[in-house]
Amino acid sequence: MIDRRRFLQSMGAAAAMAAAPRFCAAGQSHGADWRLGWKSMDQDSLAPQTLKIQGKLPDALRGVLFRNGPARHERGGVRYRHWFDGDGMIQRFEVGDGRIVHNAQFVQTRKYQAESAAGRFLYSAAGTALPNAEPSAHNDTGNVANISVLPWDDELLALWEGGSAYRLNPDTLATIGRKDWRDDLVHMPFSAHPEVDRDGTLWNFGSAPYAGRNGLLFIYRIEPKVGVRAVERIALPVASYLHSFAMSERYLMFHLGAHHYEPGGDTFVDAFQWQPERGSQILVIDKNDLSKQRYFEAPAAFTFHTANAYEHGDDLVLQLCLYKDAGIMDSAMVGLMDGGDTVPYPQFERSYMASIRMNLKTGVASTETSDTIMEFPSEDVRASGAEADVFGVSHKAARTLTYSNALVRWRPDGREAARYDFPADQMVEEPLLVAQKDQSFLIGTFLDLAARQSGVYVFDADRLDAGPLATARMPRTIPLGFHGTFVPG
Amino acid sequence: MKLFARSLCFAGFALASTTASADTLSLVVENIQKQEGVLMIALFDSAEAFNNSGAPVDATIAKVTGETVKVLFEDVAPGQYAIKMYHDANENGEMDTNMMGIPVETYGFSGNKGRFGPPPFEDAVFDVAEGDENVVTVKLR
Repeated sequence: MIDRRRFLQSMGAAAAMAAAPRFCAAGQSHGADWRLGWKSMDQDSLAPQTLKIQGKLPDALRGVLFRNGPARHERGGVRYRHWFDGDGMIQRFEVGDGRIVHNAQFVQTRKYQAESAAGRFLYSAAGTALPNAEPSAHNDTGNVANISVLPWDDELLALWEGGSAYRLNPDTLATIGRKDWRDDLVHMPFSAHPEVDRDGTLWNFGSAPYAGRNGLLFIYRIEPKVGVRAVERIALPVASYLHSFAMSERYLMFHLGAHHYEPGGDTFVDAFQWQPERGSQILVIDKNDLSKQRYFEAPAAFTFHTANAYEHGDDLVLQLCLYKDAGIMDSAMVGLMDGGDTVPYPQFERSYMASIRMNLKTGVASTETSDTIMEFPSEDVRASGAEADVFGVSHKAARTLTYSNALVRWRPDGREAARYDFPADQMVEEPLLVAQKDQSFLIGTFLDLAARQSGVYVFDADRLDAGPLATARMPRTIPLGFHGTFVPG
Repeated sequence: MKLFARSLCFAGFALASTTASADTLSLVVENIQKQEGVLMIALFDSAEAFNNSGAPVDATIAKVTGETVKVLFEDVAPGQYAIKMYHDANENGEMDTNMMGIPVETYGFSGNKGRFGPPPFEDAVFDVAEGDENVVTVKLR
């Protein structure tokens, strides 16, 4: 067995662990093992398996659901400390003709291949300082390609945020190699949350909070089949953790939260300090002239995910999932990985859907936080601006269960328009909207802890309350992941 | 970050020796990923020069001929030394970097230590002794 405790102690994490209070989960029945969600996958790939369908899979829903997430959490008797750390595995669900077939494959990063050959972890990870780690040469040394996926130029990109994307064959999931956009962009940070503009332009950023005086932000404008058209280097006023951004017609918007990089931490994650006294800032960049940048002051908060952004007269509105502090990143994600006997429930806050309204004339921003607990937001692309709803995962209550167990639809006026609570012992992952002319769907994955099965849910996007049109299950489980995409077929 | 790139740059290269003799230092360079270009190697005999991008006591350019290349330094006086090197794959005479100043060509140091960037001299140092077979290995990263 793995001696996790000793490993964690060896990394000086014991004090942090002891400080995190634990509670038994109120909403989960006895015997359901929540740790399944963070169980390490030790096979390089999973052979195709046809899922068993309950309900009726809509004929109109055809395509492939790709998902990415950390899946190899352990190697050679060592378990990573943080949920960000594990190597990325791509899950592929082929949907059509009343069937769903699943297979999966680890991204063959240089790190994954070297560690496979060695039979042990060789490099320190974002949240784990490995004793006797091999030196880090550049940003891709520890690249685990584990956050999201993006269909791009007939390939599938496996996205990380600390370094390069990796190129995959979308049909076979075979790794083609690292994505080098340009000679001077090799090994540059490339976020897992790019945005595609109406004309097909891909906007993305790379965050380097450790570089420059207070962190550097790189903005990339990329044209399909052509490549990078512009890169803007921005010296930030604060070295905030940055995971995503939002885009309106004319602007790019970044929430610079109160979790700041301070040199000297044992790991990248540990280097961030929660500094609420410094507040948050919103950086707004003009898409037509990237050198035009403006900052708005906002209350101290933390975010991973923006949901939507739009312009309304002189106002810019940024919708996002806001946390009151950064406990999710620096303690909750460690607790989930620890695998203790009781559900780890550090005293961290859930994220709530919020709108930050910024006035371009006055320079003043105001924040309205709703009562809707939400993560993994997905904008309703069938509408625009203030009319667009947001779908996401949620909880029945703020302090039950380890992980999301509901889907919600949120209205920009702050109301919850619809929700569906999954049965006890089911953990629910990111919903993706498949917008079609006659009927639109929400598709995503879930983990049934009691049945020890992973599966796919399909809802009518406009009838969330009615429950799933279909669920599909397989007699194996896959670790909970982060983000995906649905490619219509 | 720019400093990091600069610290690997050095001048005064000579052609690599190919014959062994007494007081010879054998350098074995491992993990050469691209089979092209040359290895730019600098030998330092003081912490001051190594840590502060000073002048090397010797320097050489070696052609890449495989995944591992052996390079000989001749007439090396007994003492303490450290090596910095990089693989100039495109032979433009520079260690190429990206927009952040991070090297995009592989590099290495004797001792093979350092979490990020160049290690201090004391982590890279090795002894050259008279009459011994002096072999040092650098694994490019």
